[in-house]
Amino acid sequence: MSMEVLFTIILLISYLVFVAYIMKGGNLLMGFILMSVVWIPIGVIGGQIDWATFNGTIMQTAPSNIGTNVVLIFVGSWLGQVMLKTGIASTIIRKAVELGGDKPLFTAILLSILTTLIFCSVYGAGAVIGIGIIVMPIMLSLGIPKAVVTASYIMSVGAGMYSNAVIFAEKQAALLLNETNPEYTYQIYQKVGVVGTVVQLIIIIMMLIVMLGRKKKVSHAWAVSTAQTPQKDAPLYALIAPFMPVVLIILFKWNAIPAFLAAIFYALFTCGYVTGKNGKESLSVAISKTLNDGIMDAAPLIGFLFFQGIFTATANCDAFFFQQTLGGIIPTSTLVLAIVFAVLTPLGLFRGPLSVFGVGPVLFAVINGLGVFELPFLFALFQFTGIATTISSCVTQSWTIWAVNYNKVTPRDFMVTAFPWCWVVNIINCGILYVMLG
Amino acid sequence: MKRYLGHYKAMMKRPEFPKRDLERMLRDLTMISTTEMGAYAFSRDPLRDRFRDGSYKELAQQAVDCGRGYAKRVAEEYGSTNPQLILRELGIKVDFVDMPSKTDRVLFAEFLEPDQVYVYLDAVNKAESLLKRSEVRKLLTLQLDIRQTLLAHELFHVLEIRDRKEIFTQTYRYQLWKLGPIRSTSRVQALGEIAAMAFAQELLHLPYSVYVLDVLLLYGYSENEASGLYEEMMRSTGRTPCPGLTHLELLERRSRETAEKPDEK
Repeated sequence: MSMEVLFTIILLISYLVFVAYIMKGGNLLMGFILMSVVWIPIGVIGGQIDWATFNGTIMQTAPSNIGTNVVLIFVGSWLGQVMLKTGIASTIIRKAVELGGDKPLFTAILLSILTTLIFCSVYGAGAVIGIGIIVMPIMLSLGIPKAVVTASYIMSVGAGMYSNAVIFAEKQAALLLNETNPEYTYQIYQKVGVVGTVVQLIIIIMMLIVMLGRKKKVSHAWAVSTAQTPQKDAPLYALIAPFMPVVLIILFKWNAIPAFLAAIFYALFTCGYVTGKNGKESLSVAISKTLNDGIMDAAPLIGFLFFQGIFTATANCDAFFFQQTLGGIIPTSTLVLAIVFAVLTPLGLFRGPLSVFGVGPVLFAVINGLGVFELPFLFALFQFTGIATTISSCVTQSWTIWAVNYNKVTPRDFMVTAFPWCWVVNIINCGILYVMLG
Repeated sequence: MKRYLGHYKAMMKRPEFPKRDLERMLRDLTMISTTEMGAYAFSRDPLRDRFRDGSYKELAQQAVDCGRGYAKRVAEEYGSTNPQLILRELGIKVDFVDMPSKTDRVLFAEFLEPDQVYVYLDAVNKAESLLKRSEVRKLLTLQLDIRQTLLAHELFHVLEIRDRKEIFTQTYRYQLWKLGPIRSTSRVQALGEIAAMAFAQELLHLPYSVYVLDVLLLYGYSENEASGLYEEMMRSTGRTPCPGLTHLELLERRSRETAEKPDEK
């Protein structure tokens, strides 16, 4: 047995142990650290990692290069906090409800569309929760079954994430693409990102039509939510703020950070956070608070990206062994790969190997290292599968667990409601990706 | 699943409300009628912005009258004021479920169409422990049976759905918008809730608004959130909430609670 085969077997075993560990609820950050501890020595012994590579590429350059992306992640989270603080998000939701009234299907569709559009720009668990506590009780009060409420809300958040520049930046950093493929920018990705958003949104609407069209068990609940701080409506002209970044980036070719900053300051100015009069805080106080909260919201992710970046750099080096031993086995056809992702979508659940939000970066590094597939196609397959599973239909996402607890839905009921539809989304999206980028 | 909770709890930063005695809060809240509590009910309605001009008051009164009227009718029709018996007569299954709740949304009871009512014991058990306090029991009277009150509330919703074509809370439609000949109208959810509370109060002969139970039941989960909800109720009904306990009062309460614990054993 050659050394390459032996190393590949060790790497594969460690990867399978990692997958099992994560799927059983293990800590993803610790998982990547431990994987690095195993994969780095293998790379050293196998001659793929020398001191310069270890000291430079893996331990210095890789974590340093997430810097630009970290800024965008913070800014995206900051926008989320501003949307909550200014009341823009709650005003948008309330206006939608006033439009739809007590018609459950119409109102649910309207709320899903608005949630998706908001999360095309906004980012962060704080924003998902802050908007969820407005949207979900409204849907529950309309008698919509709680599993459907939970699924449609989480899937709507997920639908926005396909187009979200912050999510793109997060994965760009995690996969070290800003270092290896700096030419692959959000402006290039967003052409398919928008398609992913539209497809998932259409499927959500179909799900609502099917689920709410059935003879359903309407619930009339006596429940109490925690005290609500009365919040004045944001002015109508302020309500475009959450949609500004996507429009500025896609239509006017702005860069991401200035687009987000424009939306943030527009929101603060139009909602009166300038002089500190009329009961509002001054601009400086509002900026400090929302920026601080936004950074807090994103902080655990940054720590995670730091170590994931180190692991990805390691995996890029060790990919050599996979190329030598498995190069003939891994499909080289874009059609076959698209079919594999479509059919094996469930492998993205529980942060599995097809989810870029889970252990997928390992597989991504291996396949990308083969140099067979164009990056836009490969990245989009992993990104889309990850969003359709981990973000939209899996209970391993922190805000999903919050929503499940909030609505008293069992994790099983949530996943049984959401995942079949998300699988359909991914099948369609894989087909579209093959046509557009294959 | 708890392992994936991550840091979301840190993001759910809730304000710190002044610490208040449950007894003091209940004393204030039991002085507020169900009609006045309509302001609180409407403040939680999805269409609340449409009623900021005070137009909800008349509707709240009509909802209260509807609830009371139904209570009298039902008592006469079934010869009983026991909601559990009446539900059984109506062919409704009642289950008492031990499902834990969280603070951010506490579920007390639910009517699932067409024929199932659930009472969630987690909240009930916590509230029943609080009822053992003599002052709390005195304020809420021996008349109060939390389970029956929850059932009475859900019983109203059962009747509301049965009589949806004629009952005020279902037939009243608020106009949302008009575009030429096209009109969109909507039911107002708060009316059903106000009527259900008035129904329960009338059926069970309680001398205060059943909305008080929102604070009592929430207190079992979080004193802080109960204090916040009390403030919201007081302010929305045009009243000033009582101040929080002073440091000395807090110390006195703590030593009282410690002294009471050996007695409970």
